[in-house]
Amino acid sequence: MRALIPLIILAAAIGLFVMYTNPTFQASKSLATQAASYNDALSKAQQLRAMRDSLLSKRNTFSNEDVTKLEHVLPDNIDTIRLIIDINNIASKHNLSLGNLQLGSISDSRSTQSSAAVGSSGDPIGSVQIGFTVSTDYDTFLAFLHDLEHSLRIIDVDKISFDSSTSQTTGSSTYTLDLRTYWLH
Amino acid sequence: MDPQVQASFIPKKSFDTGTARGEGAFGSLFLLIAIFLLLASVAAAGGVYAYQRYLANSIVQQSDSLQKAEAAFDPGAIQDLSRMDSRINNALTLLQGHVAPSALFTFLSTQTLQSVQFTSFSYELQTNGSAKISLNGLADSFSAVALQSDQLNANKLLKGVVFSNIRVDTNGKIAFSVEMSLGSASLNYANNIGSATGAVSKTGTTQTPASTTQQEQPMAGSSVPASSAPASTTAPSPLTH
Repeated sequence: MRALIPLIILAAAIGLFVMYTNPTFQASKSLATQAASYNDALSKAQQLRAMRDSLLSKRNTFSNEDVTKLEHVLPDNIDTIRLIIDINNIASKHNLSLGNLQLGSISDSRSTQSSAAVGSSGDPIGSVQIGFTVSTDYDTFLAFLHDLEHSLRIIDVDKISFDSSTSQTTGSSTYTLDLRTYWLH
Repeated sequence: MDPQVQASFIPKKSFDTGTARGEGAFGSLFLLIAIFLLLASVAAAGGVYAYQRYLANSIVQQSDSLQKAEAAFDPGAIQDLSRMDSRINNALTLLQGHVAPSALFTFLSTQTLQSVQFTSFSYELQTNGSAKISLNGLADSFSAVALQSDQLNANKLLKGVVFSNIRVDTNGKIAFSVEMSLGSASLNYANNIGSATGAVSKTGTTQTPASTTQQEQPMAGSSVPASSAPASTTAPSPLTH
């Protein structure tokens, strides 16, 4: 009986290791990995916070006027009525009136002509085409075109066509323009 | 001497008591080792338990810290910054591809001979940024058309200059059509911005275009005042060599 005591103690030691210590240690390993990932995330959070502070300080150097201008350059949505008013205002500066106004396809990308591509382009910029005519003399048309190119809102002239044969008699021609402007999704 | 008596120092019996003592020592050593292993196992179990508790507490604390850090980020500010970044970058991209076709008219005015008149104009921006230009014109003679063709073909900015549909019209003039394309760099707003006001002034009058050795007139014939005709070389156009 006395000889069995060491064996019982040994069995208890091994049993404790097998039944508790080893499984608990294995479980602790996954906890240690989780703790390390949390630690890493906290470290990155600190770096991000520093970067955010840096960017915010840069952002605060922009004047509200410049930010407003930037929002005009590339607006958040395409307000077609506002767009027509803007173009009409440019035309009015040259005593021009817009004729045959046609709102073309609204595209989900900056260049796609077909509205079938809406939602599938992945382009952060959408575009809309607008067509109209103006009747005026050559120099006024050039000045109008120049103002369109230099407008705060980015307007690309896709098409221009005119026939000068009528200007021989009337002094003015009818200019047909297709414009494209953009917005940020 | 008694012959039956044999003197020997070798014991007749084994040392039973000594063996028993050795087995007892071995049993004690085995017991000692077993106790030591049990204590070590208990200590290891306690250490692992403490380590697990420490890790669990650490995770809870770090999770709390992370949630606080996330809340401190101010998602609205991050979204505002992200939107601003996207707006600036995309506006820059658009500006890099922005076209200024008004410079095209100044360019054409430098390339048109005095004996040639263009009567219609069509410009279409291509997806690659270049422009397809189609013109119909009238010339005084076939040689004027040939000279005009030479003039346009000599310009490296113009590609695919094709004259077609050449005929004598009812007024005795030589009618023709011409198609050509102009590279994207020539129309680019950024490339032209320095001289944009030189190409067309804000008052609406065309200004003096690039240097040329020939006499030219602006397109659209008589609708363009004489003051707009290219005469001097003070303001080079970006569209000309």
